[in-house]
Amino acid sequence: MGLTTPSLTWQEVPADESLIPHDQKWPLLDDLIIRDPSATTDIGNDARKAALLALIDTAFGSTS
Amino acid sequence: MIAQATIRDFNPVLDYLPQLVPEAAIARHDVPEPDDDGEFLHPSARPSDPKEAAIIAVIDYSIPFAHPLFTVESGHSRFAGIWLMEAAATRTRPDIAFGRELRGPQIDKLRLLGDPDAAYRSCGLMSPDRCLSMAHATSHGAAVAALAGGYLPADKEGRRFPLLGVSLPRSVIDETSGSLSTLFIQAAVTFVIARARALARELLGTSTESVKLPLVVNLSMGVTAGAEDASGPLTRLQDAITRDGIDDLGPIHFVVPTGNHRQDCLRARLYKGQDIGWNIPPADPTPNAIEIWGAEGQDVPRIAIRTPDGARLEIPLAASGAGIVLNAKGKQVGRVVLQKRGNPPRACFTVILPPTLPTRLGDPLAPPGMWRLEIVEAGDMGCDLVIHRDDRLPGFRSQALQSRLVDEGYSRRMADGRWPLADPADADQKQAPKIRRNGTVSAYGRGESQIRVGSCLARPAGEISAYSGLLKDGTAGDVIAPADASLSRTGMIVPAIREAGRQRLSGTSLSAPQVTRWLAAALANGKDIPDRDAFGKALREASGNGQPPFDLGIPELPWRHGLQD
Repeated sequence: MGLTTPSLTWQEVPADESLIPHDQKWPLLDDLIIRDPSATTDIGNDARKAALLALIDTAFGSTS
Repeated sequence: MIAQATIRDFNPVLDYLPQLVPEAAIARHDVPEPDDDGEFLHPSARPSDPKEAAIIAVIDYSIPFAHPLFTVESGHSRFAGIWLMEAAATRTRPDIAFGRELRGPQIDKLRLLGDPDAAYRSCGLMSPDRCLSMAHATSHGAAVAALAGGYLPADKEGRRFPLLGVSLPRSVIDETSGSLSTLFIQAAVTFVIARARALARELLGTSTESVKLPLVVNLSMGVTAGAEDASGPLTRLQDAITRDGIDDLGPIHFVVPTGNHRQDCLRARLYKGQDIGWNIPPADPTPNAIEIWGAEGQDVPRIAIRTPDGARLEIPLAASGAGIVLNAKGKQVGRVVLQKRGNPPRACFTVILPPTLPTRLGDPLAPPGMWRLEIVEAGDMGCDLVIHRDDRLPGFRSQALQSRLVDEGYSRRMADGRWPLADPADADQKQAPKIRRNGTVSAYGRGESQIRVGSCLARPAGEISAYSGLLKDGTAGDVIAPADASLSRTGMIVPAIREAGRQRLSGTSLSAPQVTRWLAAALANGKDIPDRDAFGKALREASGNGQPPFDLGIPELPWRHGLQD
């Protein structure tokens, strides 16, 4: 009948530590974020990061 | 620095931002910056004496900032600043990455448009084609903000507590494991600190008195998995802020709920040779994940997983790494990641199963049913297992279903039908039931400084609510506050989004802001509460006697809360 005997195999995935060290990654993110190469925005990630860093500076810098 | 490291570690979420917030919330280059930063509060909304004031901050979602409970008698807003992360970015500030910040006078102008809906509409928060965050009758943020800092406009007491707020994107909250929300919550904390400093300077003006306004931040959010110690990014940041202090501000406290998952069978302790069932629900469109933590100082455990149809695989990871589990047809049915996490580092496996009902054809899927997790080899302290939260919040569209651990030797209720409280004294014995209730406190409350708030009943007074999470030692928190009238009448009545609206809600999310309110008043009245220990002492003095966790008691609120009905 073509039934398959239950079995599992393992396939190792090389760690990509180029951006985030492996031990610092949040593992579930890879399963939750659907990367859509066609998604575009009119302001890039760099500008958003700059704004977040500016907020950190405002909060924790010597003056705000 | 902690905050900068989090931006790096959650960079994929930042890349994913266009999927999480409305397009209109993403700032555009051609939108002009405001002429000036503007004052935070109209003079009639400012505290009459900053020495007797405290700032209350609420980080939540769908916060009705135009609600009358957040105004003074003249109609001016007590919200000094609120970051609406989903609002249309009609104006930009250099440190607001998306959405829109409103300050008191801007809220005042919006309130003049007419009813509060006009204010939310003008921010793009009631737009059918973009964002419907405020187009609901009820919201969690309405309840939490009202409990933490809502006062009748005519009550001059409200002026002592200027408000700051952050309304998080609903899409981020909908995903309850907290994986997407860490970056946003950290940004929210950073915003609160930044604006609290500037607000404090505005309120003190040219005064030469040395007054530092205290700040109490309410974060009624919770997740289940994560390090048991204080090494999580949010807890580290909050601990650093409370411990080290911030220029311009007095004591800063973070108040968090213990969570509502005590009875949900999400935690267990397993020893070498033991296994446990992991029930994966069918028709679940979201991944299910569990963390398996080795003990501190012990070798990396060896684990095995077994599918519902009996296929077994021992995971061949002995050092940090990752891999995919394939079935006999070569299709992915799971993923396992091994890391060293925590402080001190412990081995942590994260086993992630894809949805049992994927939303896209061709995506990996996991068979539903009873999987089994086995500890093949481990040190004598065994392993802690904790399932990621994956439930469905009321009012949200997610179809997520929570997986659970199943232990044949564990009974969820006691013989008399009641829900059990802490684990029995012999829980750490190898023959004890594997499922744990101790340690079910939200990961956001596992730091060294947060005020952890559990829920109790109003009648009988102080009886811990069945769902309320427990600290590692089995206690219900640093303090408890009623969020349920009685065993048979759960919940309390709280404001909804509109002035005349009410909702009945339950949960530790409602207990926490009651403590925020109490703590802000204590600090504004001059109580010296620099840390969690001092908070406990202040509560002990206020309650007259007793042992922790202290029951805050029935609250006095500017609406009928139904706890004594």
